[in-house]
Amino acid sequence: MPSYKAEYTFDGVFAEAGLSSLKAAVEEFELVDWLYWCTTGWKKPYLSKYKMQPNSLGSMELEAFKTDQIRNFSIIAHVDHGKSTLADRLLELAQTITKRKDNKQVLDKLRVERERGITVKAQSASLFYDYKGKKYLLNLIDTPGHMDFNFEVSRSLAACQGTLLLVDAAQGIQAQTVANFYLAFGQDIRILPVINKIDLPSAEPDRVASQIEVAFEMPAEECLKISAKSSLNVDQILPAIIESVPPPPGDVEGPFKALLFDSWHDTYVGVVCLMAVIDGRVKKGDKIVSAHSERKYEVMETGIMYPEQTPTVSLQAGQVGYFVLNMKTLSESHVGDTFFDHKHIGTPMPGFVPAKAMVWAGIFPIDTADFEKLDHSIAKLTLSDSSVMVQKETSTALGQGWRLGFLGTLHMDVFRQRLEQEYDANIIITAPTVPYRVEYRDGTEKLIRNPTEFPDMDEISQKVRSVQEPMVRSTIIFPNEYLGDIMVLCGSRRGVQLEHTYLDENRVLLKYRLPLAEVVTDFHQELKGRSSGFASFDYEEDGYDDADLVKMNIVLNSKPVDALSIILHRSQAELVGRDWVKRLKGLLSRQLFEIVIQASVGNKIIAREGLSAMRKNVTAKCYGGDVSRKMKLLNKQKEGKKRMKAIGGVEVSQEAFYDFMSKKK
Amino acid sequence: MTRLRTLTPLLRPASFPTSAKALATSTALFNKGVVAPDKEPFSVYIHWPYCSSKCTYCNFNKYVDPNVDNERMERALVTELKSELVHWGLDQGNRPIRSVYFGGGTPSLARPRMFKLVLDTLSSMCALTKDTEISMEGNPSSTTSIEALKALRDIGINRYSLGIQSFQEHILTELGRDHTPSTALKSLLDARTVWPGKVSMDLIMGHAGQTLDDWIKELRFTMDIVDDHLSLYQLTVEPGTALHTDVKQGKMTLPDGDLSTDMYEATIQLTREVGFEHYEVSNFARNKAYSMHNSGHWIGIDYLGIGPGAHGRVSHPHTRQKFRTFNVRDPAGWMRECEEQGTGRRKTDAIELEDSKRELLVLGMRTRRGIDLDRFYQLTGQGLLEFLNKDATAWCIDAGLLQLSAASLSPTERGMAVADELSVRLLP
Repeated sequence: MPSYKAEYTFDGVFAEAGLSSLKAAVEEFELVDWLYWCTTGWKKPYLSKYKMQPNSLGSMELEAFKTDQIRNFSIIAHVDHGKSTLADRLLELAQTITKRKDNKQVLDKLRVERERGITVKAQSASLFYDYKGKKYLLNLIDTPGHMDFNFEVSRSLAACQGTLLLVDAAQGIQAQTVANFYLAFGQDIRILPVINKIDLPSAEPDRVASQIEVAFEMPAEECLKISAKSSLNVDQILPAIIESVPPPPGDVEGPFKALLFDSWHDTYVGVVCLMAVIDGRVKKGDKIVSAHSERKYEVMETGIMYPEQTPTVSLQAGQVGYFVLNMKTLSESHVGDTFFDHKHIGTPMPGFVPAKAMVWAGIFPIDTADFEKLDHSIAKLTLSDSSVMVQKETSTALGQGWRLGFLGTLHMDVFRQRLEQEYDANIIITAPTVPYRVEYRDGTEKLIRNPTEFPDMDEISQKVRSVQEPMVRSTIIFPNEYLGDIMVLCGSRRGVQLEHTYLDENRVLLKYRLPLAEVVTDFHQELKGRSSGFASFDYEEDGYDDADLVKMNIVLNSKPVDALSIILHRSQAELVGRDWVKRLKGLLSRQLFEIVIQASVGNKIIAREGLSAMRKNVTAKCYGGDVSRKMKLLNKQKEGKKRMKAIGGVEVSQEAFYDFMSKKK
Repeated sequence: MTRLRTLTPLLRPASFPTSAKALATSTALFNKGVVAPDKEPFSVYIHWPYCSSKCTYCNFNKYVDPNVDNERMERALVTELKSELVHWGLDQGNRPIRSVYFGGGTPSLARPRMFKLVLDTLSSMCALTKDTEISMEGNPSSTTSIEALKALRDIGINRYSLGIQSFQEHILTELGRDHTPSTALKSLLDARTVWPGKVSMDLIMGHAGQTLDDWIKELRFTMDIVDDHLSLYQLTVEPGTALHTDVKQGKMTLPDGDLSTDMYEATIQLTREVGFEHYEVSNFARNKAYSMHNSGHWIGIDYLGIGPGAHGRVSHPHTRQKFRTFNVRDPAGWMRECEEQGTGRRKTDAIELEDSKRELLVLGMRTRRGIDLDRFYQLTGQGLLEFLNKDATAWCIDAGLLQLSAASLSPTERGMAVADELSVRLLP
């Protein structure tokens, strides 16, 4: 029997499926082997209408699916172009899930993913589809739809032979469409252009098709034109995949070899690995070995995502599925790793460049008493998101905390939001820092993840050969009319133009080389603002450049606030300094003494604001009846004071820090 | 009297719901002689809950009732007064009465008989001395004749507090006051004739649309006619008032922080020029005409609260544990309680020692005298400077917000203006 335990009581299962009782479930799904759910822990009655029935052991037989009956594909798209909706439709079409009104983005499992309409973690699902009298196993490998997660996109693509390039018929090609296209193009896989939302009043499918022709040199007539929402022409997709995507290469008879492309942590069984089997066959009890760690594992269970984990008797060349290997921690599962049969260790797959943290930020508990709890929450959250780098950090202003490395600012936001939503955390997050590089005259190098590590003026003049900042190559697509504004923005962010293309008579594609630091602050926001929300933007790493960088400190009554220091290009220090001290002034409340807020670079003050002392804070009346009320208020205020951070004697409320960091005010 | 005394334990079986711990602590303190022997004067507050109209800013417990049953109300007040004096052991003759204060509501609407009955009761049961301050609040609209005032004086009232609030017609209308500037002026002059040197008046500053100049003009005019005591309040928006609704709905905007601070500072300066001492945040006196009643409240003197919705702060006669008392608010309910139970006291909360300390701090920081170090020790068993946050105290003294002498810790003028902030900072 599979090693799962039923996680929920049946009532819970039915309620989740929108059913009132077991009886209703049986009526609705005709053939429900509820004992089967019980033993497998399936949470929803997905299987019911599907023709594939498990064998008596509760596992599916997939041996019949040879590589020519398998297609592995993904969907790549710009945010909001309808990827998750299309995925739902395809799953329904293949009866992997039952068609219901509330099938909303089955593959987006995290709450933040649904809220933000983005996919963070790659998910995959298997479909069975009859075409021209033959049964096919189609594996949909979902890819994250945001630039921060390009790394995840490429690892998902590595397990595919084809991809649907989904473009919104009204919005046309967007920056991520381009980025994703080139990622897929680089992996040399079959790209099927699909134009979605053709039933929108503002849809211009023909124009979008010609954009695709201009941008990607793919004939306009090859584009499928669909509406995932209304299912219009969606039925053409699976046949198109079967016809034009090549079957996975591989030899069923050869020794077992598989590529690990995703993994996650499961409370009951430990780490679950998603792998694409390249050659051979694997089943429960087999011994396989990691090329990376040379560690040997016994296969405890194999299965497919259907769309929940569904055990199979075996997995073989061409198939994509999950493995339970008795792995305890995610650090053992190296994405890009190749696994072999323990007796036949061959050449590993090229593998992936590991995820690089592009943005570092300090995270601190608002209430220092929450440190332990938050430590635990961060540890748990990083179990399911191994791309977050974690280091402990101590700030004189904010106390004990962590310095976390993220793939990008959205990744950082998602992490913050998950901490707040799933773990009820109250945190302050500092301004993000990109990883700078300091090259010393003696040839050594240092990576700076925290402004406090930045060398001081003396050190720079005596020992440092150069300070370098990470650069990106960015793609920006927008309507022609915003060209002037956007070029001014890119110029002001120290950008250098690389390319300027007209996708059609009124859409422009710009490529700029920009410092990453300029991009992670509020560039995206500015871009949206200046283009009435029409500009789309994507970027990829592009090495390091020498730069004239300085550390700016914020000083409150002559005490530097470490959590507010920032590394900047010298040309911007004054402007940012003035803006920061002004905003801080607006956020601090008057205190019993004058507060001087300064921004400094080295010993030089570059901006200053003063907040005069509180003149009056006293209730007019305080007689008999007012006293009890007054005392209650006093106790509350005293508690509030305890939650304030005192910096240079200046009390700064958590809200002020929070608002300052999040630029809300 | 004997009958009442024996009855008292039955009136409120759970009348001292003190925690065993609080009781033990205070008994121990008492036994150690930490608390001064019980000769301390006490005060009495009498609440007359009726008004002839409602003011838009007032959140006091008051009722507009054209058919006030004076007779019944008077009886109930006397009943409650008697029971409470007995209950708290204040009829033993050892504790003199520091002050009696008739507040409201509008006590000047009550019959002179009410004052007489109350004062007769007090003098028959306790020590009403020639030094006892006996104040009443009055409203210009309800004291139109000098004879009425004289009658009150003859009954025993020796201090009069007149609620003028403004000398400007449009402000009086806005506040919902039922008098005019000229009746206010006449009342004030009449009262000064009857109680020379013993008249106080209230004014409110910080009205919607009021400028600093408007307020200075009004103050200058006031300085020409004022007696020796002034209460000058910043208009405060209290929940549950018409003003609150107007401000919340944006129909009215009150002066912002800077303007109201300017008004506050101008008030201190102008009154000082004519010899007034700023002895509490909103109170000013010259020739030492301080309000005995209110100052007593600020330094922790016991006071009995009598009447609908009145609050009190009284010590247990034996344990010295302090209690805060709360009366039934609505007059009809309160009268019924008095008739059936002898008292309208609805709730009696033991004040924890720490809360007593905090209260002395909060109230002390609002007064020029500040906190008397010996008195603080006698009342709480802990030295004030031990109780307070030491760094904060030192810092505030350094910054010129507090001054420390051998006898007291008191706020400076600048300190008093930020008394609320000081209290929070000084707490341990």
